[in-house]
Amino acid sequence: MKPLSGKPLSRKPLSRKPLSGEGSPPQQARGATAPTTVALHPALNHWFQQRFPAFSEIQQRALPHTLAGENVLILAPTGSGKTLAAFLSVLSALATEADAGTLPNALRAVYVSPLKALGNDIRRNLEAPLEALNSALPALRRIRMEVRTGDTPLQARQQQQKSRPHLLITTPESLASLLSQRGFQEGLRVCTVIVDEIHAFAEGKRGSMLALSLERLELRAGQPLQRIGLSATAWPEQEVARLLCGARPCAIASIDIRRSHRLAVLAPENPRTLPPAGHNPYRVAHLVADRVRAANSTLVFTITRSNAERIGLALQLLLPQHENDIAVHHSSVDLAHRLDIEQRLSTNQMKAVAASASLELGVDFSGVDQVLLIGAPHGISSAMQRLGRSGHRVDGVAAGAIIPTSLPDLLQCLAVQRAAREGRMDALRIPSNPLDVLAQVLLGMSIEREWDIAEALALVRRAGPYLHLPESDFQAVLEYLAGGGRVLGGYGTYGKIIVENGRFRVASRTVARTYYMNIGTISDEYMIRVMLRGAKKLGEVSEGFVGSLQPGEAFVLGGQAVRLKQLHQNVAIVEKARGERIRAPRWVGSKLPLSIRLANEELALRRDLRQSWERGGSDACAHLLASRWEAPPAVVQGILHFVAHQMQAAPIPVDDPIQVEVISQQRSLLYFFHIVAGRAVNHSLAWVAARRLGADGSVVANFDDHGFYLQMDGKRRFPMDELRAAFAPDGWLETLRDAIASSEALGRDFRPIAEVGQLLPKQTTRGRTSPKAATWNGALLYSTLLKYEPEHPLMRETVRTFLEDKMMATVAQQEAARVYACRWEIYNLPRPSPFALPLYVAFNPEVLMAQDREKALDEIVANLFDEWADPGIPLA
Amino acid sequence: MTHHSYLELRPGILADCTGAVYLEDSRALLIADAHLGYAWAQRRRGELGPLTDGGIFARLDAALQRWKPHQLVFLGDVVHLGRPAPEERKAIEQALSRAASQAQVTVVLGNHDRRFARDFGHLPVSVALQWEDPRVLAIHGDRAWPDTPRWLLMGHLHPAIRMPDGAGVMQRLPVFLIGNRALVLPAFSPFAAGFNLAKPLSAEWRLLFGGESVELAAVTGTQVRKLPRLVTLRFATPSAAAP
Repeated sequence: MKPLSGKPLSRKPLSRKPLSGEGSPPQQARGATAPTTVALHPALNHWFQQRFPAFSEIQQRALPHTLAGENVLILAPTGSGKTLAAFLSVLSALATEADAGTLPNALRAVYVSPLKALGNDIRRNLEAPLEALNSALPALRRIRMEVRTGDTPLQARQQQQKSRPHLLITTPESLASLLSQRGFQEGLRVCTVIVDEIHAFAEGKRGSMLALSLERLELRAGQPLQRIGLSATAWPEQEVARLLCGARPCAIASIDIRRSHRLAVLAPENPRTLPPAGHNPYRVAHLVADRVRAANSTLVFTITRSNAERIGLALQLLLPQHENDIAVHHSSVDLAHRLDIEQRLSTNQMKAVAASASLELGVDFSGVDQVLLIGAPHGISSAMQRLGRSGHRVDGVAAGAIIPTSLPDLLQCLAVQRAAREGRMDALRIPSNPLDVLAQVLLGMSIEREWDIAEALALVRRAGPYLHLPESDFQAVLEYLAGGGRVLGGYGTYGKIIVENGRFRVASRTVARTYYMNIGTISDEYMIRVMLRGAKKLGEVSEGFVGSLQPGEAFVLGGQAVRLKQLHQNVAIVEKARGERIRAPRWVGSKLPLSIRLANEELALRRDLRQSWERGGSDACAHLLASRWEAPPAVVQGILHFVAHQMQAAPIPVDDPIQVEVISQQRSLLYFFHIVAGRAVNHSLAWVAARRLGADGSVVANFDDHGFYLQMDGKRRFPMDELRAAFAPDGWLETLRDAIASSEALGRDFRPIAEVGQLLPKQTTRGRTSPKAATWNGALLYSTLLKYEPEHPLMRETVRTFLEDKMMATVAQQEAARVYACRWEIYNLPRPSPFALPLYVAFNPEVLMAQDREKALDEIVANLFDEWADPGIPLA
Repeated sequence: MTHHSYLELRPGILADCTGAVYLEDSRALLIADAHLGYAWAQRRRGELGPLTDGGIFARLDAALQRWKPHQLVFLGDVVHLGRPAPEERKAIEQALSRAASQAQVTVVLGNHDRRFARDFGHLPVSVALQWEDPRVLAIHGDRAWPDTPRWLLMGHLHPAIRMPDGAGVMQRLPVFLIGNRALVLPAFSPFAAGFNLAKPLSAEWRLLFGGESVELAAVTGTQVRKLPRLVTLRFATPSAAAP
């Protein structure tokens, strides 16, 4: 439940306090009214004062803007009362209209959230204030509130068309669908829109779609639309404000993140417990179990779904008395099962839940009094977001701890901790001009009514992500939708729209019906359903993973160990496993790169450590870590253990000079570059360098968040200036572009874009497109277009998404120029230094070929690490 | 003709680099699963892919030029969908008429050709359920397979293998599936996604390829090469009642 709250009346956690009638009685609340209450509708004011002694801090800051009808971005942690801050003005305005009897049969306010569940919670929480307002009104003049999502039954939707809700709670997809429906055309007279968890929309294409929907809403209402955005963490504020409001002014009301979140780093006492590389959570399982045992209810967040399964399983084994109260929650676990877990979390019935990103968004769970993050997070904002899910607040602070899973992880964890303490957030990267979303929205608009092309272009260009959309791109998308394009040319062959005389409209009702089935920007990977014998659905795993299993082999899903019995076309039948060796499934899904902010933070730590070591060795480092970086003793010990090994090989790598390790193996040569820039940037750097040094594929590159290496035949030792030239800024971006355009590597990325852009509808009026059906295969379609129509807007969108969103090409280009110009320090080493080990072993063929990768990695890395041991330093 | 542009499977039975088979004795060129009109058919389904023939008509012309057959036999699924759109009809009519001016054309009906006789019956092509010469019996393969001592030539399956291409991406290669009892031709259509032979075939294929190792020959459009190793196919076990 997402509670709407003002300042708490008691010291009890405010978050779960119900707002329904039987809530706590009014206490000496009178007189605590902030000056702004005068502007609230009296009945609402009365309701508020009965429940809250005063406006919370964020409410005091936000209300002057919301009540004045201004656009505002409200940034404050969960539980601070920001949701109510947004709704007070909306409810007040609705009440005033209802009083006057001028409330039309039309939508007046819309609330949009990324999760259906969030919308349901909001409705539940708004029922009490609405009841308070409606009780004084005659039945026909009451304010109506409704939820409309993909789950809303047809009958309820039809009812909503007749008796329209004044306050609608919905998702971006349902809003887009609503905008095209004839039945709602005169019923959309929206004054205010509230976008909750706006950071969750910002980096994806869902945000682009929502921004266009807001422009459509505003045009339809024929008056300025007040936009209110809510988030706990969203930075840079101006970028998010632009997503919400386009070029219009937007006020910011915020609470300093430094005061609202607190993060600790926990490490095992013995530094040798942590491996020198890898993400295996088993090493810290005991530490996690101890913390879980000591707390009432714990949320354990992991970086990957596989690790959520692993830690869930480990906790069940280590805490057998709580076996039934420990669960695993991630997006591949069956929905009903997930909802059940969430329900039990909010009613305080779970001892621990291990989750990946699936529990990151939304409401706080009052019963949860501890949040643990396993493995260093890749970004600061997501760490803060996860902390906010705990319902436990001391003076309004969300607190939690990170537990690193390897020695290098310790550094990254300290970097996260420091950034959080200093309030330095990750910059959200908002996509600009995504053409696949544009195609989908233009099609939706064509169904709504006939449009003048210039009018439609002007509308699109008012939305934040499309402020600078080139007209040629807009025209290209229209032409594509009209069925044209260069191949066999001409408009009008089975196009989805008809363009005539400077206007466009939908081509047929079949096209419109297909559109309604395919709204949205979230693409599914093809999954196999996993059913327990006896027909209980456990969840889904990717086709590839199931394909790698032999019948009888065991794996774990949703915290249950199961054994594969039979595999049918889309269904895997499993039974409970006993005693077998159990594998954690892998899911397709690329890992997020280390954020730029975090990379900088970690570089600062490395520079500090390097300087201290040069000044006073181990003691100076220990002092530095304990004082300036506020590291607890176990963390200090772990880092010293790691650094002492590194110093046997080379200094701690920093950004200037750039450290290059040259490692000669039996038949190959490795150039290892320490560049802390995140995997996306390193991918780009390595790809271009490898292509420039060996266009024939003779140079192989691998990369991670902290560096990359180039591997080649042992006889091909490059002179240093030739190696340096591989980063030369001249033509760098062109090389990257060529590498992408000429390869078929993008085939896989094309399918989701073709689906969003309505080229390959996932569902048609003839039914759902199954992967087996004779249909355009994504990779084949990509290569066909590459050959016949490379300038197709969706092809260009594929390249743009890949270059900018995945490879961070612009940032990488700057980094390449820096690498090119910077001083290099070369170290010839017999084996990779400890700081290089995680990357080296991740791509080690012995590890990749091993049956049990985790185990092989553990062994190999431990041996390599120990060879760097300093005989002078006793190992802990 | 370049070195690898064809491959002799059995004396006088040649596999062409386009995926066609040429029978020297009958001077017949056999093509399976052309799926003509595919791009238009997808548009009629609501997919807005490029309206291209993918080069199939040019490939057909080139194969006819190369072998100069007396007979051209389509082993089923010559078209992708019935009731063609006007442009689709025009393109298919032109291609089939052009072929008919150079060879005697037979269309063995496949599961996609249910309306072929009605849509294209006016063309000078003969329509049949099978085609034979003294050494082979050619069918589409979607119906029960006849019991015959001759080599059974068929399409329908779109056999293919997947190989990593060096850029970290799996590439699909259509293949001839060469067994003692039967030969399955790769799809002639450039748009067939292909059935990945690494996956189990459904159980009935055991009748044709069970109990033996088969050879595969991959086609690229310009080359046809036998894979170095024999392959033992896997078959799905007839499933128990689904849940």
